[in-house]
Amino acid sequence: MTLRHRWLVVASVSFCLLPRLSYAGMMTPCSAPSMFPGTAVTVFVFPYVDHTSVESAQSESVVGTDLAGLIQTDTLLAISRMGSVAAIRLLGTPRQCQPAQVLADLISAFGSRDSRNGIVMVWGRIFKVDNELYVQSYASFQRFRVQDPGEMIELPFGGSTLVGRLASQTIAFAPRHVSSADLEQIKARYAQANIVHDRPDEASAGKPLLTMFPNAQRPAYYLTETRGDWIHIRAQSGQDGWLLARAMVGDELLTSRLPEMKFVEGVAGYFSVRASPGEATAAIASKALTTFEEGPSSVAADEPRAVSKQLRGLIRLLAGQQSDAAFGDASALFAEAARLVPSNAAAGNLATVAALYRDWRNREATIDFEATANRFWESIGNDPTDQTALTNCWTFFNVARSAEFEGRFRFPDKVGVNELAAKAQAFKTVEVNGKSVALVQAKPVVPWPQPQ
Amino acid sequence: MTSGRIAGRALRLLAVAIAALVLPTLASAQAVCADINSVPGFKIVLDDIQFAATPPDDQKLLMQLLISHLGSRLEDLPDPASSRYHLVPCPGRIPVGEASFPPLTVRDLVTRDVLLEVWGDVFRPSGGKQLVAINYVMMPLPRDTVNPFLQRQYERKVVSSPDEVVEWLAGFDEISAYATVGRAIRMIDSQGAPAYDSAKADLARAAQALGRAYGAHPVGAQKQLLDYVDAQQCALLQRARSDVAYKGTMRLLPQATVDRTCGSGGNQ
Repeated sequence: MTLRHRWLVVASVSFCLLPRLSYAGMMTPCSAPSMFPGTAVTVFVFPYVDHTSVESAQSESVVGTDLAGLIQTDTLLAISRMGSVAAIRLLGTPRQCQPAQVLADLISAFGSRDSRNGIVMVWGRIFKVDNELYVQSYASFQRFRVQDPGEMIELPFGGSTLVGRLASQTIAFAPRHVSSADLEQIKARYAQANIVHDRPDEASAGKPLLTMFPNAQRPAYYLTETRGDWIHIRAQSGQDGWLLARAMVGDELLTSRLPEMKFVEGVAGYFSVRASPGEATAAIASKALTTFEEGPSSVAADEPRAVSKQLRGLIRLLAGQQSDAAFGDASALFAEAARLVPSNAAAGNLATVAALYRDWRNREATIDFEATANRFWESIGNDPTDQTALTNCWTFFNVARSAEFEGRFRFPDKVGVNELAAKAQAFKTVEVNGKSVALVQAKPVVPWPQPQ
Repeated sequence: MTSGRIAGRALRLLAVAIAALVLPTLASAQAVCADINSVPGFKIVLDDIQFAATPPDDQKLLMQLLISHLGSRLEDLPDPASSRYHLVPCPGRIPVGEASFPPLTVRDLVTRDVLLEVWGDVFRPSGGKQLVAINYVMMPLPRDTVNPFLQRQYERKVVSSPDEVVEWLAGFDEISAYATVGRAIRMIDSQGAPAYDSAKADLARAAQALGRAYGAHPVGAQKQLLDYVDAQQCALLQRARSDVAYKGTMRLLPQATVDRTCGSGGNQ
């Protein structure tokens, strides 16, 4: 048994023996990453890479590590109201801390074929010129498994299913300009935040966080209480104390300087609501996403804003139990997202299926066949490789030509049953990237709840 | 720009042009940038951006920052590995316009999957304003149809430091949009029908990004490029419907959808 395997066994046994608290934090090396495997949502924060020089870009930078530490504790505080969550900080050199490789290692060690848990990965770069600094963040989210098919909404439609996807699940945020004073403040704040106090008071006695993990114990802790900007933590050793978790840069909240952290909070909230729809969590997640969308336009570029609106739409549907009103609100958000990224086929497709289903469930309404088909065609035209839009369009044609649903559609004079049948047949012969297409929708890891 | 500054710039360009004729080392990007030959995949060549009145060491740092910014924007995006862009810095190279890109050189660069070459000037602030001129060459675009050389001049309020200009430059969608247009044309030319689908997606994305970059009133070369991209989308839709080698989804699109694409100004 290798040292790493022994470590994993000890970690797993320790986890099982500890009380199942619902939120937790950890520091773990990228070279042998660890996690709390049963947690519904885990946010992994990688050290930011310092590109000031060739040397610093290859080593573990102090400011990059401190910034990741602040983001991790701040995120843990922010998401602690969202149920079973964890925020884990990775440690190591840029070469060791490649997000895709670390994720593959984690899945290999802790994953299972049927994992439904959500993960959010945050990484970034720091640039420094003269006394000026730039921070650029990236975020990616998925289910904790190999070959995650992505987040989807599934809506019943005439015995078939319409599927909608997000515009993207990997986001590159615009670079943020910070000052060298901010750099010093990040270090100073991290030094403060790295002290475990007896009471939620900076004047109370304290000790460095790492001293809670003697004898090379895994630096993992459980969050047992929050009070204002403070979190109460308990380590496996039984030691406990209070950490100042709300990250500040000078007089400003870290999330004001890096609004993309609100996006991360919103994504964690989305996963939490998907696991267990609840109005309180939905409200927290939606508020975080709205705050992100209303941030400076340089940070909230079109694609991240579009994804944020789509997530809000999905959260609204789940929290609103997919009522007519919820579909009305969500359809409006999906349409706004599609307008932000008009060439994004997935965004157009999601807006189309939500609006179509909103009308379909109203049995008195008739569907404008041509207008709806044209919206699907527009998505397919924008990205001919989008098999979700293609399959939706095929489903739409099949339902529209079915005698069972006669009267539900309004057709232009020139379209007859034969034309619809011929078109539906033609779908079966197309190829994408030179390969035949199976007109079957992918299934999300967590099935979308059946609407009322 | 004042007439004095224009004259100064013209003189400098003339001097560099003469030097380019005399010094063969400036003849092409390959001669200066070995990475063009060694880096696989689609490439964007970034030559020097000249920052007026900036000491050489600071200039190096600014270029390093710009390379990091652009690299993160272009290389880390979740495209399939086979179609990802690679930024190839080309320090010391300053092309002198079309003269630096004779057709044979361009053809050679295109076969090496070079999509775009970028260089420019950041001028000294004057009257509370600062002029930035960036030159782009979209290598795979056919010169007989569209001008692949594009200069964009940006005038912005003077900022506190040159590195803010760098951040501002790197924030553009434009560079990736130009590269995306180049990639679409290159893939159609080199792969034919199997590349139609991804080329169409590229062209749609580029049209959106360029429209956003140019605003409501594109001028001259901008309008020409937008029209070209629209025309390529239209031509590709029509080609896909008539090319027997193509069996993809564009064959299914109704005539009305094709007409809408082609009616938006791009029918050639």
